[in-house]
Amino acid sequence: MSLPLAASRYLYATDNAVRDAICLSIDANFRLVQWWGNVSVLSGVTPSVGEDARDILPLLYGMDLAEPATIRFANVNDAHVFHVHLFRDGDENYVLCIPADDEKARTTELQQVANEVRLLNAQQQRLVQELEEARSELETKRADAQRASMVKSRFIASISHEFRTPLTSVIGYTELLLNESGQNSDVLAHAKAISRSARHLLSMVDNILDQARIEEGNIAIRIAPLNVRQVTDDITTMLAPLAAEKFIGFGAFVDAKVPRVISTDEVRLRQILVNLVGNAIKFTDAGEVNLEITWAQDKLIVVISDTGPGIPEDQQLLIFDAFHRVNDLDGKRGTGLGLNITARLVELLGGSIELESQPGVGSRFELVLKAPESQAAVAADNIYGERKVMGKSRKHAQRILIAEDDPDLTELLGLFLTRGGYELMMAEDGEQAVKTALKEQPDLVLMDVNMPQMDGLSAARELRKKGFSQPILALTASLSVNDRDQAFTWGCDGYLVKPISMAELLSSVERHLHERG
Amino acid sequence: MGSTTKKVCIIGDFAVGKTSTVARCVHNVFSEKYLTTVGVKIDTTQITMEESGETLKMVIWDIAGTDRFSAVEFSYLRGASGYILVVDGTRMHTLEVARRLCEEAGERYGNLPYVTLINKSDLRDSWEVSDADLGKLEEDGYNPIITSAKTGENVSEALLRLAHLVME
Repeated sequence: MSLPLAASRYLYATDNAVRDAICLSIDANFRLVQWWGNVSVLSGVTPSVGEDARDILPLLYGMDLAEPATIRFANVNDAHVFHVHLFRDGDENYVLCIPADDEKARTTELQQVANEVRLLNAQQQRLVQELEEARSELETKRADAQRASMVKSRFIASISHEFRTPLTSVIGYTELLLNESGQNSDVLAHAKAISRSARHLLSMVDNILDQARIEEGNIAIRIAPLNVRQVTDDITTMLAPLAAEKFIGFGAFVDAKVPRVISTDEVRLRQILVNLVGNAIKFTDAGEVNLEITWAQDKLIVVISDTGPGIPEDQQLLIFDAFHRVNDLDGKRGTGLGLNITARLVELLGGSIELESQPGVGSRFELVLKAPESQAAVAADNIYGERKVMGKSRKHAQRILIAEDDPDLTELLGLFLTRGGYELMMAEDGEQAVKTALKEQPDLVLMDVNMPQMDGLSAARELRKKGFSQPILALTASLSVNDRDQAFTWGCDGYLVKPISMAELLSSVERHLHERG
Repeated sequence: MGSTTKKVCIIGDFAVGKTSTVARCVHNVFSEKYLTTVGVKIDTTQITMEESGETLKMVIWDIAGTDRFSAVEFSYLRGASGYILVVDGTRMHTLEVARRLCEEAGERYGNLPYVTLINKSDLRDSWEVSDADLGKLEEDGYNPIITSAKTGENVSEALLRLAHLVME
């Protein structure tokens, strides 16, 4: 049946196709008046005149027949899609349903792809955002952890530093007791025990301080010319007595190929050697410990071997880890930091360290360090001072100003210097030191760096500004290379590190007085 | 007892689960596959009001969701007695779209009753819509209902709430 004229006109006016269109004519109450086309497609049954058109086409519910409407792609049932047009022609109401299955399939395909892409984009954006959030969170946590670690390292460094001053008193007074003639053997034995414990404590404090500095990335390396033979002599002087006490042999050998002067960090080299040789002596109960140094291709090759208990194979890789201790070494304990610090210092010096060990036979550490030959002359003075006391006799009792805020340490230094035959004057802070030195013109000033009111380095600088020309020796608990450099820049002539023995103090004082003499 | 027929619409951004919600309401089924709706899909469901025993036949217009809900499509709300506003809890943007649609529906058709569905509660771990956002919606009078077209959680309850609103 052809469409009514009104529908044909409408289709023509709206540029729609006529093919398979269905048209319903309805009255003002949505009652079906007439239909054209295969109307059963809409509801599945053939309707009757007078039936409510909304039952055939539910989308008509809520429609206002006075208002024309177009519903594109209306899924009126599960099978078919139409563009539905509601329009009036005169007094007649028409519902025109134009099949749109093919068009809908094409549109759906495009829309589906578009929506899926938008969903993927949204998902991607979310993932990127999550990734950025996770990264930012990680960054915050990393910064927090780093801050916490820095605070911890600074705290440890500060505490360790504070330990050195009282330890100076403990070690110094013990030394006085040990050198006192007429002591009974019990007192001497007790004093030796105190001395051993105090030195052990000092070594642990130093290790903890170094570990904190390494973690903080605050270990300065200072490459300078040095005399390896002098260093080896010093190590021998320091450690051979420990081997002798245990009745084990100790030998130090420097090959003729080693240049007279090489370049490396003297402080760190000494630290590495003291640590490795000291360990070897500590853990060896019979036999010998040997230190051999040779040189090839701008590299220093150091071998420390012992006939100690050896290190089991399963622990040889772990031994350089912080806080690792080899089990069951006759109860000999430390902080477990020494070898870790040694390995890290070797690394900082551009070198390597290797271990060969056999339980029951012994251990052998081999270091290879960058150390090119230097043509420079090595200065007589270094951080450790010149140990040989010059034998010049004094024309008069020389006067020394001790500027130190710790009364125990002041007294100890006083005792050391009195025994050396010096006259003393005291100052408790930097300001007092400046006033006293300018007024009394002592022959030498022993200046503690860390003092109230005015610190020792500022006092030294002030004295130099005001023309004070006698030697000033800085005394400090700090091992920092920067602090040492600053001391020399600000006018100090020497730099003594706490704790200091009587011999070291007197030797250094004597030498500086002699040089000015 | 009487029977009433009302037109209601379901609107929201694309892929929030409008068609799935209707499928759950009408046929109690769910499909994992996402199929975009083009145009409008008409479905009918019947609800019997427990209190009055009255039957409400709802003709539900499932209107294609786009991020640009054009005026032409908005005209489909004409003659509706209420609507269902759907948000996808996993996409915050769909909440903003829902707010805009609700405002525009209010401007065009006055205070039509509606219910707000925060859909996809089965994916709660991936939600961008937070408890604070839900609290704000509550404050703003949206009375959100957490639903899942997938599990059916609260879907019938939401429809029943709308039925009560349109019958008032």
